[in-house]
Amino acid sequence: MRFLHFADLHLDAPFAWARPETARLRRRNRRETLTRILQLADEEQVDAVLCAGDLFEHERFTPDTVAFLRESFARIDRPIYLAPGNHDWYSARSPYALVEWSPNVHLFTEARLTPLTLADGLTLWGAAHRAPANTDPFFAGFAPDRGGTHLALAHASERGLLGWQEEGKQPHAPFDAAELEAAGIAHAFLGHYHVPRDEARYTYPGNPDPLEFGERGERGVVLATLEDDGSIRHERRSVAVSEVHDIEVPIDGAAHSDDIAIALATAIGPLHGCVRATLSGEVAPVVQVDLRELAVLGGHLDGLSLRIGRLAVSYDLDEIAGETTIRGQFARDAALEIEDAELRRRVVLTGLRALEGRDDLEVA
Amino acid sequence: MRIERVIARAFGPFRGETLDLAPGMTVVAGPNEAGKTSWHAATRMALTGVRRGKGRGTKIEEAIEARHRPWDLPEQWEVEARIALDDGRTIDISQDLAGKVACRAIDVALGRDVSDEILDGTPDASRWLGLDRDSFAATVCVGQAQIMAVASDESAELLQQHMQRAAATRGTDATAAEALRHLSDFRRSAVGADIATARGPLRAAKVRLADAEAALAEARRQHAAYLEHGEQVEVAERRVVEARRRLALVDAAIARHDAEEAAARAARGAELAARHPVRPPALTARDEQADAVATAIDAWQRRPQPVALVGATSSQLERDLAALPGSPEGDLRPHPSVTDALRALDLADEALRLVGEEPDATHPSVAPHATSLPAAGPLAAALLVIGAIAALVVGAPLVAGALLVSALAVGAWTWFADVERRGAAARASAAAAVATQLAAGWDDRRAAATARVAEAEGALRDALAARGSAVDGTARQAFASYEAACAARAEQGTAAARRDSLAQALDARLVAERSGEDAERASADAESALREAAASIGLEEQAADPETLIAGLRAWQHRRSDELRANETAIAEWQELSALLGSGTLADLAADATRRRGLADRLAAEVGLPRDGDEIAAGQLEALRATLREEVEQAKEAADSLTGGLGYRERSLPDVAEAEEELTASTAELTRVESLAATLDLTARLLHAAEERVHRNLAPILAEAIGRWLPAVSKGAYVEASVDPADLSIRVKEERTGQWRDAKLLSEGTREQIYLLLRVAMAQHLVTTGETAPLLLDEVTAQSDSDRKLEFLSVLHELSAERQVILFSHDSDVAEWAARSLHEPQDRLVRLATPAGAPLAEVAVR
Repeated sequence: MRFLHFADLHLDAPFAWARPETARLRRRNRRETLTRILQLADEEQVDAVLCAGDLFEHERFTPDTVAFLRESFARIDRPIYLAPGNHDWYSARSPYALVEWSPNVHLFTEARLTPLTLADGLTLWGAAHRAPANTDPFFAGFAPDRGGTHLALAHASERGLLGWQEEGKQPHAPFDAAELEAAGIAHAFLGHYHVPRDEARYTYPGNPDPLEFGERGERGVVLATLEDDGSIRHERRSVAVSEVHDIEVPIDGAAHSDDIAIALATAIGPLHGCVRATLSGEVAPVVQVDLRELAVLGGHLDGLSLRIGRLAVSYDLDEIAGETTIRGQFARDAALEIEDAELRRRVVLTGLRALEGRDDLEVA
Repeated sequence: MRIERVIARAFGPFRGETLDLAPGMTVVAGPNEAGKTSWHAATRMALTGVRRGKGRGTKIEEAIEARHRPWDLPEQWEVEARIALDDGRTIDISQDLAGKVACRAIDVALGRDVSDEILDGTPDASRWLGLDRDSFAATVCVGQAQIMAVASDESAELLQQHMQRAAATRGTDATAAEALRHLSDFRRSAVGADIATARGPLRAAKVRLADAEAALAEARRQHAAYLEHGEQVEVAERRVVEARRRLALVDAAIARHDAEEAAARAARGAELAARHPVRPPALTARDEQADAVATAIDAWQRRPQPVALVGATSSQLERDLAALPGSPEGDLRPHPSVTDALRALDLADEALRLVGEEPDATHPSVAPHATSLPAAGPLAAALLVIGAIAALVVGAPLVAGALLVSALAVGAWTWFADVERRGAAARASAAAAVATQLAAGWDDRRAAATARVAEAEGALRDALAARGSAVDGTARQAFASYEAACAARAEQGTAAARRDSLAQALDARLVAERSGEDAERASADAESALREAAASIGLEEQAADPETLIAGLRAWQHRRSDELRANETAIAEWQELSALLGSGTLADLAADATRRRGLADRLAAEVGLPRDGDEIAAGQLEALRATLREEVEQAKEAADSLTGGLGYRERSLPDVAEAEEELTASTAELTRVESLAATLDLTARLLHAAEERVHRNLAPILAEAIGRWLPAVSKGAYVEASVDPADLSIRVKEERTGQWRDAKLLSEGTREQIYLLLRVAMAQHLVTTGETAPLLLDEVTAQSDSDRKLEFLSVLHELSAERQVILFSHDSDVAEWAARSLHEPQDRLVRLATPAGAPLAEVAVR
């Protein structure tokens, strides 16, 4: 038996860094990713599609997205099993409850594992989050009430992997991997962690389309084949529509703003999709770094996010601080008084530029 | 630091020329175009080199390059210098100004490259002073233009500004005040005020953020309302489904009911058809035979009943009537006038008796007569009357009559007794009167009594005569006759009084006898009719008595009625069958029943109608169906309304994600502006504080430096100087008046010299390494008169004891002064050749 397993698509999630048109494009990309997923399910002739939660964002979904989901699911001629997560939790006001889904869609709605017989001796246990937080563990103390092979579909957090995830990840419906074995779960198809993980008894496919810059791991969907011995054979496929790049642009030695523009244009020129470029290096004091002007260089991209990394201006601050001038006193005072290095950097540069009569007093 | 030698390998017009400098004061003198400025620049650039970096240099750098780079050999632009540091080292420094590559500083004694100590792209010896190229040029090097600017009246304030600039940035950039103004201006444009009427970036960012927050709150509110609305639609649609389900249940129940009715109709049709293969004949409910029987029975039952007559027959009564006497004439009882007269006679007789034959005191009383009369008469009469009434009530008229007669007799006797009592009383009264008279005079009384008797007898006679009675004998006899005659007439009267009653009895008897005859005839007629009726229906018992006939006739009537009812039932059933069939057949009925059963079973299966549900009457089901249909319509209407509202919400629903993104962007913008504002404010505060502190420290140093030389350069006109820490403004104290004067109001020459003093003081103040900064002066005495010039040169010469002074001048006065005042090896005068290209001449004055 073959399954296509995906999770954490997060339809209608916002993109805080992006301009409105870029954010809309990224949201469209998510939908296209789902279309790819369902096409792949057809191409691979899987027996069922498994979605382990966070299909959409409950507090943000649009009616259009709901209609898109309904139609997309209705178009595919194979079962789709949905286990709501903490972002698309099940409630009386959820699209899960309000939409008349096509008959091939099966929704797990209980905040505990409930069975669904896939075949003789093969049971899929699924559970749903019914609130955005504080969902109790699904697997602790769970014992199937029947024999055969048991699979699970849920949005849950393996405790051991929490530190391996991106910052800010909360352990919703936590469990320990050993609990799966104790419960007799042959394999759990999971969601929530965006960093992918393929283990003998559980799988996190990761978010199928990039959500953030700098994501690592081979994220996408998992084609899982249930072997005769109850084990799962994984095959990862990329289905991402969005092209996202996170690059460092060295601007060491830049003598003027054109040097930085050339370095950035050279770096992003061959790229497509969305790019986050981090400018780092040491530049001459006269160099003006204007991110808004530099952003124009990303016109060929879907989105360009510019940020300043380790950017140093080649003032010899020690030497300046050694001066008996007001400038030196200012540099010394700033060093003594301002603990925050970034603020100190900006204040010192602003003061020095003001003393130089420069107009670029907003330090990037 | 002292500069021992400068070698212009290729610099401006020089190719390998050397300028040796004294450790004290060196005056490089020569006419215009002799190369003073080139040597001044070469000296400075030999020490500091040029900035190394990509791209174009600064405008100043470009101007220097344009002026001093060899035009005929541009690839070579080199200059060298040997300098002696205060730490004892001698350094050879070479600057490849063109390529900026072959630049180095070599410790002559060690032969070691010490470029790293002063490397700023290229070696920069000013760094041993704690300066850089720009600040070296701004502090150590003083040009003619600077002096002229300070000395001119139009730019008198430049002196102060120069101090401020030097204090701020060693003279390379703006003053702190200018920087603060620049920060303030920038803040005004890049941040702006934070007041409601402001339009600057800060206010705009706050307004944008507030708008974004409001938009997001509204978007979330609408999204939540949309979710709630969706739930309401779902609930409403569930109600529709539930109402429809219930309606379907009722429809199924009704269908089942209809099916059962159809089955019943089919069965009934079959039953009736079997019972009535053809239309049954209609029986007439009323015919002559039945009417005759009913009339005969009715007439028999209504026939008069004969009454048995008792008592005297009419014949007997007629005889009795004929035997009655006629009515008597005269009194039937004594007339009162007679009885009164009799009573008066009795009284007269009594009175006479009482008078007696002789006088007697006593006189018999008549009272015992009065009291002896029985008093029970009225009571007895009453009892008799009551008895008569009772006898009438119980139906005994004869007894009642007898009792009534007795009562009358008792009453009459009582009446007489009463009269007697009243007479006795009268008599008693008369006796009393007589007795009285007797007592008065017996004779009189006797005569009177006698007369009275006679009068009474006469009155009686008259009374009798008046009643038609014969008056024979005594009055009392006559009365007896009259009384007897009254009794005889009374008896005749009684007999004659029966005539009327007998006549009435006779009439009644005659009527009764005729009625009896009529009844007998009617009964006979009724019986005859009965028999005729019995004959008409063929009743067997023709000779039977009427009651038997009646029974027979009634039995015939019952049978007739049963037949009629059966016929009516048959007709009704035929009509029922016709109604059931309509225009169809029994097969159609059966098919309809089968079809309805199938429909009912299908509906029941669809809605799960229980087989053994509560039986509800069809009428109730129809009423329930009507109610449920209304419920369905209402629920559907409500659901449609909610669905329509949901559609409107969906079309106008704001995008929460976009609202969040706008909030994030506006928050970032406000954070940027606020961060910029905080940075600018903190920068300004620190800069202002640094300015105050540096000025505070610098002011006494500058004041001392000026004050030390001021009497000399001002020829004793000013003896003391002060510097205001606030703005480094300089005031000098006039020797003559003791007043403090603003330095910028002094003469040009004095300002020029004060400026130079300040430059010296500032140069040393800005040096931070312990080295002594040399002074490179280019035509700095141009504005001074001869006396001041010489004074100033003397001051410079004195200064050269502390630091190397290199003065470039075309002024012959200066050259002459140098020739007079400078002495090798501490000092030196270098005379430059004319621009004709004569070789460099070095002249040792002494």
